[in-house]
Amino acid sequence: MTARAHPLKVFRTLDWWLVLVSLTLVLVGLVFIHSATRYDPMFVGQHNRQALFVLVSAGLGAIVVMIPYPRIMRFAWVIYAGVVVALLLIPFFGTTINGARRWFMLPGFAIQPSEFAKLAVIFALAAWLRFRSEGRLFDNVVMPLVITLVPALMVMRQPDLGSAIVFCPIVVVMSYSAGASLRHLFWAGLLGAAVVLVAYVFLLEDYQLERISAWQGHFAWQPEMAGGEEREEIRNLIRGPAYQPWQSLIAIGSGGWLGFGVGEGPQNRYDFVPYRNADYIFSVVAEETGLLGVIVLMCLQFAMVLMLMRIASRSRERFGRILVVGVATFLGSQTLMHIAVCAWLVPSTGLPLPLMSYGGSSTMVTVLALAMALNVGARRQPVVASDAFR
Amino acid sequence: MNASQRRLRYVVLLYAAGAALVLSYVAYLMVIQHEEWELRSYGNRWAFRDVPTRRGSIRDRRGRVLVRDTPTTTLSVYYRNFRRHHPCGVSIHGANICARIVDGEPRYHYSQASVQRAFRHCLYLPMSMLRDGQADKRLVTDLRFYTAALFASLTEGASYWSRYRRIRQVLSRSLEEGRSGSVCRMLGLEPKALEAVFAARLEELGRADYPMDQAGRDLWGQLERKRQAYIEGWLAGETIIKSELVPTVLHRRLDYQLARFFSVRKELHPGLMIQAAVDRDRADPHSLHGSRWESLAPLLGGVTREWGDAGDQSRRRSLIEQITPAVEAMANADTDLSEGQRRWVQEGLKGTMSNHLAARGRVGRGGVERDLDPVLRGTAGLHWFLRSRRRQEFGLWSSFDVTPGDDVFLTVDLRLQHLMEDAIEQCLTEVSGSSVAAFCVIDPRTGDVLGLASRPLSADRNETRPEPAISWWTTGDIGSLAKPFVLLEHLDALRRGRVSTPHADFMPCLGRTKMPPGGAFGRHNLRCDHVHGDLVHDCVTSLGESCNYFFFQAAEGLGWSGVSQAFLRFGLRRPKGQPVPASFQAQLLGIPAAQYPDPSWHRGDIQRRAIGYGIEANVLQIARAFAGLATGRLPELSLVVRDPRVLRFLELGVHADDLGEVRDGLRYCVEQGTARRLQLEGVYAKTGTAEVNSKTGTNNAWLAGYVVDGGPKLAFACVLYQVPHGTYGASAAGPMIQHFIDHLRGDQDLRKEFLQR
Repeated sequence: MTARAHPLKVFRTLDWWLVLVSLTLVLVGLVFIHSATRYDPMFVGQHNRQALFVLVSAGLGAIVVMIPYPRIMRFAWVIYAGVVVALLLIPFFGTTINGARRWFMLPGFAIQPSEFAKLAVIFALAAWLRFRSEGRLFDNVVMPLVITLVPALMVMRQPDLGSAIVFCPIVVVMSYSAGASLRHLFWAGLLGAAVVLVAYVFLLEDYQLERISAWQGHFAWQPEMAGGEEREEIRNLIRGPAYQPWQSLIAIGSGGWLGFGVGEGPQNRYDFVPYRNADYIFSVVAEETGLLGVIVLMCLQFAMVLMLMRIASRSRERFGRILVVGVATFLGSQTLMHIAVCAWLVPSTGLPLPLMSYGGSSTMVTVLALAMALNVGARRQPVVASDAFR
Repeated sequence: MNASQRRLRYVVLLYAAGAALVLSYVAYLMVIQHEEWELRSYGNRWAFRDVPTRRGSIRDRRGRVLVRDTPTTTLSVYYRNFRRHHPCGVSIHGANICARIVDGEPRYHYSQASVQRAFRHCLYLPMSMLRDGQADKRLVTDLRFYTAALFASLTEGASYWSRYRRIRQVLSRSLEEGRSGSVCRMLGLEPKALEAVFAARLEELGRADYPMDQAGRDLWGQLERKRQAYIEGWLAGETIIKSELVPTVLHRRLDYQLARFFSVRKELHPGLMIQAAVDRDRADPHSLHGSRWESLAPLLGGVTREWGDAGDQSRRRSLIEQITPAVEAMANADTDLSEGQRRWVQEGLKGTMSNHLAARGRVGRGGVERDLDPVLRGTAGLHWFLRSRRRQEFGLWSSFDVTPGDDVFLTVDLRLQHLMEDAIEQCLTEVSGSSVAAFCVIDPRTGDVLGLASRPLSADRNETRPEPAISWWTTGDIGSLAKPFVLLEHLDALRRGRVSTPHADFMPCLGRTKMPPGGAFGRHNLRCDHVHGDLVHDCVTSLGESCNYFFFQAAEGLGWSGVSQAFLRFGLRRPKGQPVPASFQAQLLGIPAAQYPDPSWHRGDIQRRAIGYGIEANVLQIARAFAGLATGRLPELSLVVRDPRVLRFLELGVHADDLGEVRDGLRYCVEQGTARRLQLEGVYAKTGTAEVNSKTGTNNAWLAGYVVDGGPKLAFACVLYQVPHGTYGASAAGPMIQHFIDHLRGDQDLRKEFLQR
């Protein structure tokens, strides 16, 4: 029987570079949340609330780091089941805001289970894939898809298409890193594409179709040059379904090389970009710090993903490795999708920028996910299951 | 490196590729397309606003206001809000959706009773109507909205939107739970209480229910029109229905009490807007300080927000051009602007002014309002300001100040105008057979038009039709009014030796006897109405008796050029081509111009021209010509008071003795000649009767001259058009002058002002 190590000892072997990068992103996020809300009486002071969320999340994260992750691993399915139950309860007890029912209102704050669902799915997939390295269709593709689809469909019904889409790269990359065959993944992808096509034709709401059609057309828009009916049509779209992404594009494009300076971006300052403290925070960064700021931000996010991947690569234990890959994919894909949404490279949908957007649930989930990754990186666990694929 | 690590590397590479792709696109937006987006960002936050100006007043020469801008309050409807948030609008639309679901046809329209019924329909709406699958999804969604909006608008507490949200939540939950019964009961509301609130709201709205536009539509009629327009768009599947996004003015001059009432209670009547505005207010043409001036009313023209013909458009373009330098200076004041931004600002400012002119800038239509529009209109202001998405303004960068329009003082004296209106009306009553008349009085010393009266009256205040006197219009020849001018030319020609036969050698007047063919007067069948005999040897009596024989012979002597010159000297003829003689006044600002008739002249027509056939002129021109006879110089007519230093005259260039002889002829005419029965004291005048239509046997009956007393200070011309044959200038037009002069002498103030030195 081995002597139990002191819980604080783990901090000695922690990947402090990852902590530093994460902390930097959090601080940058606070600065830009402040910048995005300082002139808006409805939201002013949100950076303080966000700081509080970060502190609480960091405290929980520290506790998570101190607990050896195999112990947490035992609760992977419990966490998953808990989240699924929470998602099931949303239609009955959730609160509707802006037409979507995603939140449980508690005194002083709200909890968004769909954010926790991402982490729960990562846990569940890691737990499932831990002993399944043979690259079998059922074990490595079908079951992971089922595990993912259960919460993903519930999230989609809220509706929260953005969060639901994030599940796709998570399941694909985790399965792949766990040994799924590329051929199987290809066919699954093909099936997924067919499902998307069917959903596009039959399942999407009118407003979602409108957004997609506006997105398809916007690359050729020249509202100043267009004449007559075309101009009127574009104007109507810009005032209606395309308002948010179009204003976000204006904010990004007007940033130039160096931007307007923090707090000075006109699109931000004069309230043209909606939800700029959360779903469009990247637009504020781009407008106020320019391309140089964007590059620095993307480098930081990329560095974070790389560091997570390094942890995964060094981990010989499969649960830990797959889990960290899941966390890296979750953070990386959400970052890229957030930026792509802000730049209207994909149809608009609401997704927070990890560690930077305002939001208690999102911040907590991100910090806990990072804490789990740090936990994995800080410990050398005995290899219970090894890779069977070569 | 093992397989697992290799796979992770691929994932990293894939992520890096995705990041590079996204970064490249962002860089493309931020660097390559930067200027384009920066300009859009600039255009988002900077905006322009026009500031309407006050239009100048139109006053008479003594400063009495005839027309002026009056601040008013307008009642407008922003139908989108009315339909969505006002209990009446919500009831109508909600109930019609129910009707569509049940019967397939809407059955409610705006009226007091119908709105009431629609409300009751919505109030007792069953939950089952709101369930999915009841009807087309769009109808059910809209019905849910209207239902929640109705109850939110009739309940109290918190804000409207929080009430609305709460009701929507309760509705959604109840629908999911499959609850039945009426919506009202389900929400825990008491129908009787809601009915009372609604009745109060309806009663308040009903206060604004009275005829509001020219078509006589009342409040409900106007709302119904908006509803129809909305329904058309809705049925066509339009997402944004433009007609409901534009506020429509329902009433231009809302009663002050009512305006105050709706302003105070605007929260309870969403969609209705009370706004300050300006109306062009006109004094009562039937009594302004006891004076009538109805003939002038159409002459003043009107004001419209619509630019009409090509001339209007050209004026609008020129107004925009006028402000261009100021706009450019305004845009150039900000030196930090890029070229694109500067261009955008310039176009924005110009566009705003152009829109202002098109939509809000009131333009004069017809008469004085149009001709003196540049003076009256003033310059609208422009504001260039920073604003947020919610239209909150953060600062004014630059502005044009508003310049109000200048007042215009017309030369018209309302006291004289009043006498003229009475005179013309009485004359038309007394003389049967004519309904068209014109009367003009001017100041021969200045050319100021002191009064203009005409009949019939134009009904349209915005479109000045070619009525007599109030337009540069005439229907025919001036007849014997031409004779003084021909006589003056004859005397001048004698003095200068251009004519060899003095009138002492003229053939005696043979009266009605026709001229012998090939005789002295050429091939024309000319005649004189009386046998004047040797009277033709005296030019004064010939003019006073209006002997045609005298003037036939005078014309023979003067020849074509001499007769032509007689009218050219007094501005009664505009020869074809250029140059226009200095004596000719083509138009008068404020008087609508009409095409000037210019019948062709033939050498053989000179005898007829000498007795006024083929010479067409209006009362203004005739009064001006007689003012020339009175003063020896031809004044430039004006309807607007001018600085005495800019008055313009044209000397007649004739000998005073010749002019004296013509004046004696005019005096003879009044005292012993054709106008002797009028017994006009102190007046020199000439009658004229032109047979303008031999088929219908109608004449133009003229009387023109000037009042000698006082200087002279008054010259006049009046005409009755198309009087029956056998009615003459003295008998038809004479009473008009008689009435005018009598009353002028009877009024102490007027007598002192116009009949004494």
